[in-house]
Amino acid sequence: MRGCSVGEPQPIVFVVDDDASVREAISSLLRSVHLGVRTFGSTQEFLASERVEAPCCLVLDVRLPGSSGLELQRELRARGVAIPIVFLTGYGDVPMTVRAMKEGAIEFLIKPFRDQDLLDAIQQGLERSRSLRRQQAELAELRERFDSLTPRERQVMVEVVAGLPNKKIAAQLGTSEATIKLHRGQVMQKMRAGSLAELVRIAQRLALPSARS
Amino acid sequence: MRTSALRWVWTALPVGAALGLVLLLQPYLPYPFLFPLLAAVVVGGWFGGPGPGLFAVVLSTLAVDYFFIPPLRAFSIYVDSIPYLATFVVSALLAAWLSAARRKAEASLRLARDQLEARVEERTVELHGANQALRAEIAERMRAEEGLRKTRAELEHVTRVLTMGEIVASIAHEINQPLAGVVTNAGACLRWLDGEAPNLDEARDAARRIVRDGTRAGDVITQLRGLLKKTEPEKARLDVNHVIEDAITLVQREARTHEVSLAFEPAAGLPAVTADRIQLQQVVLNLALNAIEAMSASPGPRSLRISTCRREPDEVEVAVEDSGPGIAAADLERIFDAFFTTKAGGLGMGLSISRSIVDGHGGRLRAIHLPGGGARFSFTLPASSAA
Repeated sequence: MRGCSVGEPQPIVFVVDDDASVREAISSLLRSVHLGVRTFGSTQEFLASERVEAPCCLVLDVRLPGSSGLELQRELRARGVAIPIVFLTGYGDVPMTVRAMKEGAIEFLIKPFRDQDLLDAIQQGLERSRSLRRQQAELAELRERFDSLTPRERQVMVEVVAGLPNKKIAAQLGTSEATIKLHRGQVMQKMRAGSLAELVRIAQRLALPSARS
Repeated sequence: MRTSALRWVWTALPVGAALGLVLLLQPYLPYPFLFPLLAAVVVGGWFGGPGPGLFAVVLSTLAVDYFFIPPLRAFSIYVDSIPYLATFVVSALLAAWLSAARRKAEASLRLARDQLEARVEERTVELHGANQALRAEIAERMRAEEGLRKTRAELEHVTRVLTMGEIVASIAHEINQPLAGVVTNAGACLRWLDGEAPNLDEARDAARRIVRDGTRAGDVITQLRGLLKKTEPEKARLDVNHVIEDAITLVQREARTHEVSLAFEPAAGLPAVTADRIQLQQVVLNLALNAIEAMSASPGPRSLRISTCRREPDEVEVAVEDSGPGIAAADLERIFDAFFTTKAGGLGMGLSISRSIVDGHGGRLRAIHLPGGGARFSFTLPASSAA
């Protein structure tokens, strides 16, 4: 598959539709292009299922008994689950579509849809999922690096990205400029930052307090 | 009518003829032969009436006196012959009078009969006219009834269309779902076949699902077309359970959308009923949709239960129960009235038409407020007489 790096877990597409015919059909279509599929008859069923560590995408019917697809979208966001959603609907309703797209839906397909449209949307969703996963992995990596800093080094890093010169930092922390220089070198090395600009970007991504300015 | 002169002549003629006959026969008879003269008087009185009758009596008396009472050939008379002549005169008078009276009675009888005939003819004409008018009235009435029937059928149709309009989104979904299944399965089928190693089992499964889903969509459309088509009611022997199943196809989605759990409990071994399928579906649909709508504001669990049972040996009952707010006692009497509605956009025709349909099938549609809350609508239908 395109963009599928070696060693990446098999992507999974979740399908939530209350109609068994639609579930079966989509499942068959996705399996025919070698995609992993899990189907659910209701949003509750889907929420109760276990998380997977793989690029994934959710194909969701807008109108579902119990709670609607849009409610599930909001619920997932509230739980911090970042999963790209492809909406399916029986009939196009402009306000509903707008709301879904604003909330970050990949696509809004009207049944009956073209199979290629669905596959394209799913591919797009999986791509976004991969990039999200990449970003999360990178963030986790950066956090790991940041966690490897000593408390003193963290203090120095915060002040450095705040734009303070070594002398001022030394004065503030009550130590010599040479010591600060040493710490600074350690920070740049441990954070694998090639330049001050890069260190600032990393601090921003980690949302360090000083990065606010 | 003969002229009066002719009447006198006609009177004299029989007397003359009788006299001729008597004179002709007398030489051969041993005694005076006067009876033909009496007969002539009778004839004269008959044809001429009282006056000419009397005239005949006078003529014949003169003839008798002249020819038969001595002295013969003279009008004089001996005293001892007077009783004889008198007897003749009295007999002749009596004969003339009786004849004239009889004639008069007969004439008045004829007159009465003629008048009666005229009257009968008159009345016959009158009766004929009345009959014609009555026939025209009957035809007019039949035309009016036909018009009424047509209007009612049209109203039923319009109500059906409006009902369908209320749940058009659900119905569209009901068609769209299997259609989406068909299109997606077809795509999947092609992909299973087109791959480097075609997977025939998967392709076959997809094709089977296409058949199944296509049939499902077709069934919904058939149902819909049946209900929307403008047809004359046509009664046939039906299984009530089948009719209800078909109606449920159309409301299932609506029930799910409103989070109503729908249960159908058909009784086994029900006798067939003679009914119009579409009208019956309309009633079931109406009751089910009313129930769903009634529950849409209920906070608790919403359940719609449709059941059938055998009420009497020859009666089938269909019941629709909901867990909504039920029916207010004040409304209970009016819900079947035309234009009575508790719904915001309701037309108020559904229950009124449902009742008239059930009535038209010889059944009864009733509503009760359930003790535990909710409403129960039920209708009966007589079982088909032919086993």
